[in-house]
Amino acid sequence: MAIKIQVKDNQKFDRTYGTGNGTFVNRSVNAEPRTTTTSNGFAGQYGISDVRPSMGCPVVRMMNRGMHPFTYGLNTFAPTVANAFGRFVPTFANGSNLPFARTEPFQGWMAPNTFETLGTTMPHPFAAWLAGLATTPWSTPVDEVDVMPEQTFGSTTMTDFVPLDIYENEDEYILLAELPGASVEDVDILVEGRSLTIKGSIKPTRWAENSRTLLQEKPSFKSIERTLLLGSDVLVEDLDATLAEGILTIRLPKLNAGCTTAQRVMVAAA
Amino acid sequence: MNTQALLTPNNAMNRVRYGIDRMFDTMVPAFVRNIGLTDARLTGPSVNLIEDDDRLYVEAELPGVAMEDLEITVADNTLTISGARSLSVPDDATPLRQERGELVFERSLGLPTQVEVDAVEARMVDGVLRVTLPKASTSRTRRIAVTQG
Repeated sequence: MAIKIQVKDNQKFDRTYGTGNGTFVNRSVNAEPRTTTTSNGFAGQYGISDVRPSMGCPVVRMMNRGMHPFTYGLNTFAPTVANAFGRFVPTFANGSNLPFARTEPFQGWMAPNTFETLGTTMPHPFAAWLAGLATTPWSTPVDEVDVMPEQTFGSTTMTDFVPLDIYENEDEYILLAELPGASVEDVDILVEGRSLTIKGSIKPTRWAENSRTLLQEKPSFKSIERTLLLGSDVLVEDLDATLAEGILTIRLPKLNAGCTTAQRVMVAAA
Repeated sequence: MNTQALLTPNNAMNRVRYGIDRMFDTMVPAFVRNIGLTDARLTGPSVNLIEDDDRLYVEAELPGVAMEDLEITVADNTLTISGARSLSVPDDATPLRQERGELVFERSLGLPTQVEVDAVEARMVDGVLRVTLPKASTSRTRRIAVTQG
């Protein structure tokens, strides 16, 4: 079940809910208590993390199985490579730039979830290939086989990169995405389970019939797609999206906003 | 050896070279853009230049740049767009990821024809700057009918 959200200009949008029963966890405040334990000690369960459309998905699938040190190598590699391009400053969920600074005691070598960790903005250039490589010899369930070509060659659809800022305050997460030239009807925000996808096709400007293009740096037709994984502390239902001056602003309220301190529960003596 | 063939600008060798150049000119930027290496902070905003019979149009991607921070000048057949964008951090918010960053840019474009400097217009639509430059009357395309006889 997917929820498709339409972006409105500078106002709260309408939501069109799909059919079927909701897949959201923590619909209400009284839902299951939050746990802070994550598989690898990173605070991956909370906040927002990134999945690159072309390479990310098969890798994430692999990572969740993750049992091989080779994939752990990806985890160590990705931030370094991103730095080499001079573009990304990886900041991890605990606020440090060190990939190995853990928020929790070491629990052994666990499934590395590079793509579910905040701040890892770019996968290893050969991540998909390496993941495929790592999958094949040690675990070859039949259903993995058909994923292989996609893992090896990446997705065939070329999508443009959407630069994104993510901010957090006490009550909400704020996403700012650059979509120059996009009008409201060009952009869709799709929420399905824990994933939030910003998807759109930015149409080219219509020029007169006899016009000629002398210089083209800006692609005439832009197809954009970027998927983020939301933590369970995000209230997706109350998401608010506005588009102004080519910047898409998405506000994601936090569940239990304002409850920053843990509550002490009194245990009665028997 | 047919030296004449090599001296012709449109010889086979040049065509192959042109083809390879063209391949790099189109594929490399697409690849670079796709893996997220283009950075307006390094290259300046991407610009399109379009021409029709009477006007030149320049489009530049400037998301988040306020109009008052933009300066557009036309002089000596050169259009210069310069400006800046500061980091817009929402109040009391902690950055978790910043891929957009600050921007200070200046781009100059040589214009292919004379333009009427006084009639240049600039508009900002959805984060895209659109400059319309009417061609000077001597540079406009005139269609000349061919008469028989």
